[in-house]
Amino acid sequence: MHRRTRLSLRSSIVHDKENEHEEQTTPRKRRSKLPVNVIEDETDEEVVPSPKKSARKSRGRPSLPLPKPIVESEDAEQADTSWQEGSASELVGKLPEREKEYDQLVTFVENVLDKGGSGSLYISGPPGTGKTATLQRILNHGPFVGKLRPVYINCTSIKSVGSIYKKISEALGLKVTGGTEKVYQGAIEAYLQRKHKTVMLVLDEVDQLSSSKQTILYSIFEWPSRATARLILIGIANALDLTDRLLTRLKARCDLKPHVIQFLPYTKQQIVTILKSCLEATDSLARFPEPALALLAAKVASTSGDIRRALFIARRLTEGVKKEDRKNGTTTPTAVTTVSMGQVMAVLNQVYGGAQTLSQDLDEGFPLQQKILICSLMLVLKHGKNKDITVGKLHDVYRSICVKRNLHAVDQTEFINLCSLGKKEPRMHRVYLQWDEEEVSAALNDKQLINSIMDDVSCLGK
Amino acid sequence: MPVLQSEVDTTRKFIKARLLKDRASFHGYETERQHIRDLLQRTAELGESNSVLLLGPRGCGKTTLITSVLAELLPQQTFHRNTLIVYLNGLIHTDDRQALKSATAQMNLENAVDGKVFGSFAENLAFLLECLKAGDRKKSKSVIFLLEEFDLFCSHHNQTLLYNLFDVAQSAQAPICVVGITARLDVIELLEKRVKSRFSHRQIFLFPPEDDFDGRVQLFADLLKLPTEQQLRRMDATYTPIPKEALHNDELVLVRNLFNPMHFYRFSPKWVTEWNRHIDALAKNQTVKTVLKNIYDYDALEGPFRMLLLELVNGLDEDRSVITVESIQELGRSYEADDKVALVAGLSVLEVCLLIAMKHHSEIYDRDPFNFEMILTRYGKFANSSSTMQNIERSVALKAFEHLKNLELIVPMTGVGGGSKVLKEYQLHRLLLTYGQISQAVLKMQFLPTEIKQWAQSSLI
Repeated sequence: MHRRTRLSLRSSIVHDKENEHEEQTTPRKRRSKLPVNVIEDETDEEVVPSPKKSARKSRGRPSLPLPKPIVESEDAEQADTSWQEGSASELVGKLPEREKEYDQLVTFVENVLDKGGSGSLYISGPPGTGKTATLQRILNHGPFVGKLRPVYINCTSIKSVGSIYKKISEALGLKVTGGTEKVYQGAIEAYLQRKHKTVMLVLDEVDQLSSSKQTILYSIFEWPSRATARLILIGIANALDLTDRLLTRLKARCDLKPHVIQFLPYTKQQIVTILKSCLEATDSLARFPEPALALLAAKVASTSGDIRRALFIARRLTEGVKKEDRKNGTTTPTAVTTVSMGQVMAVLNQVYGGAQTLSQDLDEGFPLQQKILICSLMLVLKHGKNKDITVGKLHDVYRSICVKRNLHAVDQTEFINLCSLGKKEPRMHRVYLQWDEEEVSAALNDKQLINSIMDDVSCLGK
Repeated sequence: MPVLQSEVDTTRKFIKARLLKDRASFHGYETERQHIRDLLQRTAELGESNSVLLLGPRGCGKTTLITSVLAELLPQQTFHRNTLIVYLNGLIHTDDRQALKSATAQMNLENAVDGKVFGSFAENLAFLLECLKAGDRKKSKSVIFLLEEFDLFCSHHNQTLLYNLFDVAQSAQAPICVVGITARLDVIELLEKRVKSRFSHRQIFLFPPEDDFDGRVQLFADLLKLPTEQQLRRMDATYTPIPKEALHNDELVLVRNLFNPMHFYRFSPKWVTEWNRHIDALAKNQTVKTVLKNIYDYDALEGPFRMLLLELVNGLDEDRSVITVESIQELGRSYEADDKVALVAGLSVLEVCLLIAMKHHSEIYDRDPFNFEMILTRYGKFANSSSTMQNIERSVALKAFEHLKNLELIVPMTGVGGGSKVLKEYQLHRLLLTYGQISQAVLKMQFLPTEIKQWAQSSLI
């Protein structure tokens, strides 16, 4: 009992604190939801050397005399003004290649608004296809601003599934006394009963809410079917079949079944268009020749169609080119170095070919003994019948190889260290090759010694 | 030359301190280091957000690289005033709750009082994100998150922390830089799809250099040599101490107590020249080179090698004022020694006899598992014909068998015939030694009766 009161006291203190600063910064809280960071925008500012930035470099932060504390209130207000001045206008209408989905969403919302009813929607697609960004745009869509009450919640930022109710009611600004899930849920439902502006509830990463009986998902997805709800519910997740898998019961009634919109991965042409529009905005398109862009886009589109990845790669390339610029000392904008195909390939290889770089380094980075170990493993894999290899067996082969080549063979304890196994019964532990066999043999093949070991079947001791 | 005892003592102290504490000086990997340095500096001064993974085998200097970069950047006003460093270790912060509390405390946020953080996990997370979101590229301090043992963070529930950190890093909120340090090369496969998409795929690999044995010999000499006064003065001129206010973070132990040669340095120039000449002679010695080559063939990484040198330096005292070739050979021997052989050589005669019986059994039946009765029968055949080993009781032999089991020289099988339901005399076991190890141990034991040695050679009695 005693402990309990103390705890509650403490939490009330925390609450008080939070409330205090919420009061201070209420205007910010509102607004920080509006100008949300569209990915493209971010990269614009960061990737590309705009004059603004270099100016800031010279006179910006370093010259600030005082250390800046990360105290919220100050921070926030300043942040706010800058948002209003600059970027709010840029943000709307700046999402190339997602016009169709955008229109679809707008018509959906308009329909619901016209009828004065409610609706639910589920948006799926792989990561990096612009789902969240499009939604943010809808939330800021001009004609809707007066009529809708936007609530955006990212479900990964909650710990337990049940606390979603609390989060929603906080976002709606409900006054709730008490703290259990039920109370919050009741409060939200009561709010939906009353007369209110249409609420647009966006739940990002909605699959995080799944629990053993899916009670929460069901209760949330059933809200729109209430007569007075006036709620537009939008769930966003990666899985294509989330509604079929988790929410089978919703199918039973037609009015409950959410509409599904899919965001397909970007195609090559789309990625090129997006990159171009990004680069144009900061006039550094000159750095990227057409084929380089095409290569980049083709590679990204063929594996994932993830626009983030394309932007990250573009950013890395720009960094590299800028570094060269500085080295050469060219500062005039007419003589900028362009990205070469070689650089594109190099970065792409780094990002995609983890294993390839491995086997290049395998050639250099290994001590002799480990190389022989890999060889013996390959030898057994190639010629042995039994693919079930224990460390003991491998050591026997290794030892006979070493004897034959007049090399110093290490003891078994060290050998196990070489395999870097930490198991209790090392001799019986099975060994597998983690890499592709062909790749390893390709990496090892060019050495004389290694080659001769690989062909020497007699060491197998048959 | 009469050697002052204090000189040897200080030399030992100096070299030991340098081997252990000198985490700020780093050599090799120039491009990688420059890359990291650029990233951190850009985060601090231009307010960019970045994420990067530093990968490499254990002991190749990942943490040293980061420490050296920090030790170089922290003395700069523009850097340490603009940044907060948050250090998280996957071995200490075993779940997101702890990691979050620690991060909040290290950032000195409002709900942290004297290093204690109030509120539940959800509240803390919301608060932290609120703070980061409220931030802006131009106004707020940059935060550098150093995540050591990054692969362990991947096993947290839903990867909540990683998702949120990377999400902040890829959207224009407060400028943060996430640096993950890990020994697992395939760590990127552990990330969830949505986390992976938010990570910038900037991976920096550290691999030991190829066949650089000359470099290893050079390293051997460099680590053991004493700096001359001239070199020291040059070092002192470039050395800038990290200012007090940059070290307010208690958790960031990396850059504390760094090695400062001036604290220890009290050598006469004569001693220094003498010592260095001796080390140079050692590095040219062929025997020493062979030992180093053997060690290098086994392990090319620098970290373990430093620990070996530490052992070498530990042996210095007034009787042995210099490192000799013999002591290095001794080091090589102890490095290559098989500890299981040493363990077996310390067993009693009865236990060794049992091991020999097991060896014969395994040889005859091609490593089939055995139980106590089988071994006892085999041993009994030998004991009856031998003159010294007769009349050993069954219970004593069982005791010896149990002892072998406790030493983990043999292990019970799991599954059929091995479970605890079976009487212990009939429980099946496996031998965890090689035949070579047993014969080596038998050779090593000087006091064994000749008949046992002969029995070890062949199973015929």
